Amino acid sequence: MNCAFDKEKLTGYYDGELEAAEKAEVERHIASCSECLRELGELKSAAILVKELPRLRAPRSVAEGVAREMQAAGKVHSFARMRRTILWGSAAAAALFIGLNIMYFSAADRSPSAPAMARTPAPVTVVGKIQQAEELQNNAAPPKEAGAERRALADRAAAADEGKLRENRKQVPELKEQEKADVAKKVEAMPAERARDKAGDGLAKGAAEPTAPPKPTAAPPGAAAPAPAPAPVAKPAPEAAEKSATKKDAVESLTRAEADLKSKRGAAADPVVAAEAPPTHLTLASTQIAKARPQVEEALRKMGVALPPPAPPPAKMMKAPAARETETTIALDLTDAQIARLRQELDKPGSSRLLAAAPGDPVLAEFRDGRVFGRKEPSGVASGGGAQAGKSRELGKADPKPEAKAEAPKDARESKDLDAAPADKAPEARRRVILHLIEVPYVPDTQPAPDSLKK
Amino acid sequence: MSPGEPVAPELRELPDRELVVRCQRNESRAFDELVTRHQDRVYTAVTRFCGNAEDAADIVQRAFINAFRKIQEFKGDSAFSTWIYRIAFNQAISFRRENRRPGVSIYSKDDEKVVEPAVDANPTEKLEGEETQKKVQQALEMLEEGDRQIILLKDLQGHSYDEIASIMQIPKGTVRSRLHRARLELKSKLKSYIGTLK
Repeated sequence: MNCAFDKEKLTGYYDGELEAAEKAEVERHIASCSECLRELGELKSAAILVKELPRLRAPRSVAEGVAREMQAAGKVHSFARMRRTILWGSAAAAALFIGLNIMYFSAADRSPSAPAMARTPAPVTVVGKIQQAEELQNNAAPPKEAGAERRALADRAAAADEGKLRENRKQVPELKEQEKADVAKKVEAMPAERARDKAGDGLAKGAAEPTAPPKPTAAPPGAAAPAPAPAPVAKPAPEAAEKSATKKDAVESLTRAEADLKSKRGAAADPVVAAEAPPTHLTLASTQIAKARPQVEEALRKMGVALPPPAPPPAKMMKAPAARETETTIALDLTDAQIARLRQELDKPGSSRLLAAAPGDPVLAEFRDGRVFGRKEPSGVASGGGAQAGKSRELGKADPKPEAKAEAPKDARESKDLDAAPADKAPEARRRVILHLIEVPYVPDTQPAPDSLKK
Repeated sequence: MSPGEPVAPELRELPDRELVVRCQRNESRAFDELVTRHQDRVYTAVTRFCGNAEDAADIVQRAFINAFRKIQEFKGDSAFSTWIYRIAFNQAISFRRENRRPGVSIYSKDDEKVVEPAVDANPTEKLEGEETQKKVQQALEMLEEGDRQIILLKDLQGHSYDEIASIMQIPKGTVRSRLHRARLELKSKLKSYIGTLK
């Protein structure tokens, strides 16, 4: 054991892990050193003993355990894979959806060139514009999307509306021109009248004052705007009127003509307002509603008006007071003369009273207290009010107001005029009258009535 | 794949590296092939290292399961055999430290596990060979874990110094010195027996 040779090289020499130089060195050394040669032999013997140990076969449990573990892990892997797949699939679907939306909207904004042109205003008629839009629509490529078609239809409708509006706008200057022409005619007529006035001034001096041109009868309460009467200046004035016309009358006639033109223009601008006038509401408060309707029928029969069949009362027009048990509504189309005649017929002393008020009018509440024939009149009763004006007016003999008193003979005169009206007169305009028949309780008046009412 | 199911024939001809790649693509049959290829050699080394067949089976099973779980981390810098040996020996060292119990010799049970008789000789020689194996095994079990491991890797498994250095994660020069020291130690344990062999 005195050899100082590196014994580890003997191990490397045995294992064949030495470089060629080291290997040669070892071979030279062991050739001369018996001690190292003997140790190399012992190392080789120990290695051979280990190398000759038998190889063992792994039991099946090893592979089975590994396989089970792999299966369990595979489930986890498959679950993770499935989850990953679902996530990626969802992301892809979302991306596809967004992409399709972007493509859809971008295509919808680009493709319809024809509607874009239709949107641009052009001074053409409606028909021409529609034809132009149709031509453009036919020439252009068919829209790929349904939204483009809808948009084209909407544009076409907008173009049609625009054309209608343009036509209306075109009518405005025509009306203005017509109005100017009428005014010019009147103005032209003015000097002629003045000249005639001057010429006939001396001739007609001392003659009777000419009657003023017939003023249009004042519209009864609640009536609509009167139908535009022909301007007096436009008609050929009679000779007597020409001679007696003054400047004042001319100015009045001109003003009236302008008012007529304004009303005409208003009717042209808003024909609905002129066509539908609000009806006149009359309420017949009666203590015996059963007798009221025959009374109305009799009055109308005298006037030659057939009573329409009874209709259910409109719910919107009534406030449905608790004291009222029955109520009947009759819709009639009457002339002013017939209305006056109806007032005369119905507002007779007895069990009923006719009021120019709608059932919802507050003045009727006092009559429903049983004071139909009492002397105490409701406060705030105003004349000339229609139902739409929110005012009411008691009609009849008991009306203490001077206006109503003044109207009563006027109505009587009108009715007489109506009876004596010649047949060749133009038929008078009718208006819508809603006659409400309400029943009110009878309460005898305990206080003595004043003398004026007794008379 | 169910346990015991034969591995696909086409996989038997693939090298370990290709099988590892397939395992990394979640092809479980490839890992079965790797288990089939290496389980006996790993089991033999671990059994000689532990001196207990049952523990060796558990250790080898755990080693392969760990390898399967970490197959995605395997970069292929070394051979799969080197990698699985390192895993198995580390598993065995941990197992022995956790379970300090007297080992059951592999020769205390049936000998059916022996697939390669060390000595193919007559019955007398066979008995002498078995006795020698017991002595060698006992001598191995008396060595330190490192010495035992390096002798088994070199003399039993025939790994090169580079492979041993990779498995044991030590420098190649250290392998020769540690192997020389381990062999001297084993020689001292088997001195009387080696003398009789001479």
